[in-house]
Amino acid sequence: MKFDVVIVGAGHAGIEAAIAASKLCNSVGLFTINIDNIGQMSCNPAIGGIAKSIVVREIDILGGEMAKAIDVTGIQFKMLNRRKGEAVWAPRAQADKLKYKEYMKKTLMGIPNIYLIQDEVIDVLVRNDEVVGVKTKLGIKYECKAAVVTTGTFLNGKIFIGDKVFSGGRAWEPASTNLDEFYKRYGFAMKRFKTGTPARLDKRTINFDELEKAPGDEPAPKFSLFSEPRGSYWFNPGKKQIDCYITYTNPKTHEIIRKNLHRTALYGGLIKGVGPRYCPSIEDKVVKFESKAQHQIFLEPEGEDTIEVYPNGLSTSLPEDIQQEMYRTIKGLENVVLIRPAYAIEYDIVDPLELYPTLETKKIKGLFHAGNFNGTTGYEEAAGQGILAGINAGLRAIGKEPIILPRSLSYIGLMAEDLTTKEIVEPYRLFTSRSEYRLSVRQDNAPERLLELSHNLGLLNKEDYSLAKELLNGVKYYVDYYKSQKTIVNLGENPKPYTLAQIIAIEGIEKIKEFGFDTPQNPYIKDETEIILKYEYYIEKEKKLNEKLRMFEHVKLPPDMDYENVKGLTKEAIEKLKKLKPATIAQAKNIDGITPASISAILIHMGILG
Amino acid sequence: MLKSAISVVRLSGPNCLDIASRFLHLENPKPRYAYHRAFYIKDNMLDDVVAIYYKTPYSYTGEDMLEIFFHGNPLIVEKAVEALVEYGCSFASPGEFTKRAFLNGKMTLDEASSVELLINATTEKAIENALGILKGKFSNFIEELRKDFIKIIANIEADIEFGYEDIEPLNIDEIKKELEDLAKRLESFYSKLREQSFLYDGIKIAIVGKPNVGKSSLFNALLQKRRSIVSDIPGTTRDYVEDRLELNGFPVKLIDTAGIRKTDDPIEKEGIDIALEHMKEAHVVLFVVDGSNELDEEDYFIYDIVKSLNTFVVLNKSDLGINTKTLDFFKNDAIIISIRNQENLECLKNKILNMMDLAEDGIYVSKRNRFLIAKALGSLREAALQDKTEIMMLYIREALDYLEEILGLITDENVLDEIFSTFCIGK
Repeated sequence: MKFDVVIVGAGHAGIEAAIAASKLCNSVGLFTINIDNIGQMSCNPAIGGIAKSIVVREIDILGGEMAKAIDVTGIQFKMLNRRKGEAVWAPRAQADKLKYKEYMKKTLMGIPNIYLIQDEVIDVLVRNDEVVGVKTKLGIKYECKAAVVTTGTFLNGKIFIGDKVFSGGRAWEPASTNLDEFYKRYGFAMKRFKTGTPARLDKRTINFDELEKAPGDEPAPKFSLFSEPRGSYWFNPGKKQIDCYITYTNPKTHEIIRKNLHRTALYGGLIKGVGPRYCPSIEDKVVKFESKAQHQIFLEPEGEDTIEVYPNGLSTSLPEDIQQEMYRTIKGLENVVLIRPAYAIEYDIVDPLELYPTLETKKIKGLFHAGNFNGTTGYEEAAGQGILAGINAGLRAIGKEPIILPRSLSYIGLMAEDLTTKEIVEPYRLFTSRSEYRLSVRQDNAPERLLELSHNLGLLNKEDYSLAKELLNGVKYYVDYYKSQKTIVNLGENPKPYTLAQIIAIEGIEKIKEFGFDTPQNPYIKDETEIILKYEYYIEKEKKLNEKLRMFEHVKLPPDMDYENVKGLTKEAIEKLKKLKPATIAQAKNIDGITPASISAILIHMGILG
Repeated sequence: MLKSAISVVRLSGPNCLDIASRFLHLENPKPRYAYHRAFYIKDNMLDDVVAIYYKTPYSYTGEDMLEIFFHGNPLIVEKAVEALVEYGCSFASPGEFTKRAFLNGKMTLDEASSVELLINATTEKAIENALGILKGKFSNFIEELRKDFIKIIANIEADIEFGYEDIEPLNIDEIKKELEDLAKRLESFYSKLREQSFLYDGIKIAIVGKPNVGKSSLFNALLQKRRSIVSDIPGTTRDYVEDRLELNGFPVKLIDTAGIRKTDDPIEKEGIDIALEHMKEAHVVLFVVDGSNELDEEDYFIYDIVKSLNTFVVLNKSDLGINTKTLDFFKNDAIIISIRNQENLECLKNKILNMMDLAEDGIYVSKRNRFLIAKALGSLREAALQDKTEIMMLYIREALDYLEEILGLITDENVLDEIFSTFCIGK
């Protein structure tokens, strides 16, 4: 068999990679161990959130599927950070996880040049340092011009529940245990990362009556500009949504955790992989924030056709019997029954420093990596890399040059650059603070940033492109119009002439109605016009700050540098620096968790500063 | 080049070891070790020298360095330099060693700039100030401030990223207060910063007045030596006389001008014109009046010119009694002195320093650094006014950038060139 592009793995990265590639080349082979688990949500049944939502909307403009899928299968939608400025707003949705993966499977099966193959890829075939094919467990060889590997948590995945350890790529699914041979053979640097997921609870055994409700937002935000109603990032009023619930741990919960700490896989010393600080297990939280009397737990239903509930904030690697005991100390969960216990998982990744920002490996041409396999965490991060890797694999298959997305243009690009230039020592999650373009690269303006790029690559269909183009023209029209119109108003001081743009920047767009002017009908045009006018001044400022030259990046750090004796370094920083031995300040700066303060401390120690 | 006992040629760059081998026949020198060797050009010995090799990064510039101590005969040194240039060395441009030191991360920008001050300092106070900056007096404060910035940033960022999760919601008023506190600290630091030109280029003081009111006496009294010729004949000082003195550690250029009066004497007239020019250029004008007499037309004429300048009215000759009409005219703005009795001269000096805002001790920094601190303060105050945290962060970032610009963490090539080109020698 022969495909233009082969995708290994059909998770969130693999799906977007396959779809993107399918638009650029003739045939895509999508390989998965189990075609019934395509697009499975292994952990939290939710899409979006701070920074992540920006990626989802970028995927949408790049012709991807994640945004549309969650709009169709979401059961609760919220706009996070609504009390803050629009630049940091973030849509987030609860998914019906069964419907979500069904949607994805159907979508893929509806694309004629994507071929789903249920088999495990165990080797990559290489000739003259170029990918020429893959080999599966059944011994079949498939030729290809490019391959995207997205093994997620499956490569040598090991599941931990207390002191029980077994092989697995996700709850009770077989791990992929052969492909690492290939990477070792070619001398790829590999790492072991870990993550975890809480138990799934039987909804019928939870007493919701006394728990605080967490309803969705009205109006509900959506992710795709092209889902119904088309041309808006908001659902029509009255979107049917389900409630989540809030409960809290208490001293009794914490006592049980402390008493049994030695039985957790992590604290018991079984797990060697590095986990993310951003989603700590409940035992991590109890140990690290000893003085905190309670931790918040969201109870999130996993869908309409299932009784599974996801207790957000309760991931643990305690033994199953202790999990039950611990969960039952929590209000509302007094009689809870676990459908499936919480577990921790450890898996192989290839160090993304082995990649170019195109996500192609430096060692083997035509071989791309995406998703958790690159050391990231989160469906959105995975999908974002997937779409970039898929685009570049597709471009390679048709003999075109790969693309890099500049970080000034997209969070997908920012992530690709971070991953391939900065050493990561724990699973990488996107944050808006990672971006020096926070005000100009937002969730609301993905069309403005990426539409033409997407169109030039041929990733969007005609209708979607002209719709988005029309909206952008509308925004431009109104921004210019409001700048040109003046009216005399009283804003605080004496009445004087203001442009409508100035009024909108100060008071919001609704204000101009008071002076007899209309706001745009289309919600996208209206929101976007308002945000642009509100932030224009600050974006200009942001731009200027980003143009300054950063010094000291080239200062060399001796490999035998004694970081223990550098005053002012945190323990975390010392550990990372000792391990990674950055050669220059620039490299040290790029290590995740090394703050400007740590850099100053080093420079001071070296006698360069202070 | 002048004769001296010793003349040092300093080399910086990757070829130092090769030069040591070729010209000094010195192989694998131990760093920071003085070697007594001969300097050869081809096979001919030029001089008997001492040489020290510094290994990167432990040298002034951070590069490999070689210092060769020749006998201070200009002929010898010229020949040596000629040979080195022929080998491929080039002359250091002004400030080049220090610029390299900065670029190689051996100094912050403000420290590098202070090297030039140190070289050009003419008073002890000026040396002390430059050394203080070189040792980090200025950059340490900024570094401290930066650390506090980062704590605040962490809180704001956590709220933006995790605000919907299980963390204490950010108290924006508290953050604003913390920013205001930072601003206050920065402001009080700013108030200690003084324009360094007064300390390094000096204060220019012009003594003016009509003839024969005691200008030259005041000049001599301030200098504490007889410099101007003093006589009872009006117009004795026809040309201006200037001299230097130290006022509280500040170098002062004191100018005794010709007495200003209506005159037909062309030489005296010329002197008066120059006096007027000096007045306008001076940081301080001392307008001397004979306080024992009533003011006359000439006094008023001069007063009209100087009253818009940084002027002190000095009523001299209090030993002859003060004319009340004259005193009333200036109200309390005049300083009454008697040069003959050496009365109130100290008071006059203090008043000058007070007016220049130099009485209290401070840190003397460049205009640029003072400006950057002021800009940082402005951004910080702006940050404290914001209600949206992402905008607040933008201003905090801006403030931080200004501070980092002082340290040279951020800068642009033009600024560097400008700073280092003010060095008048190769250091």
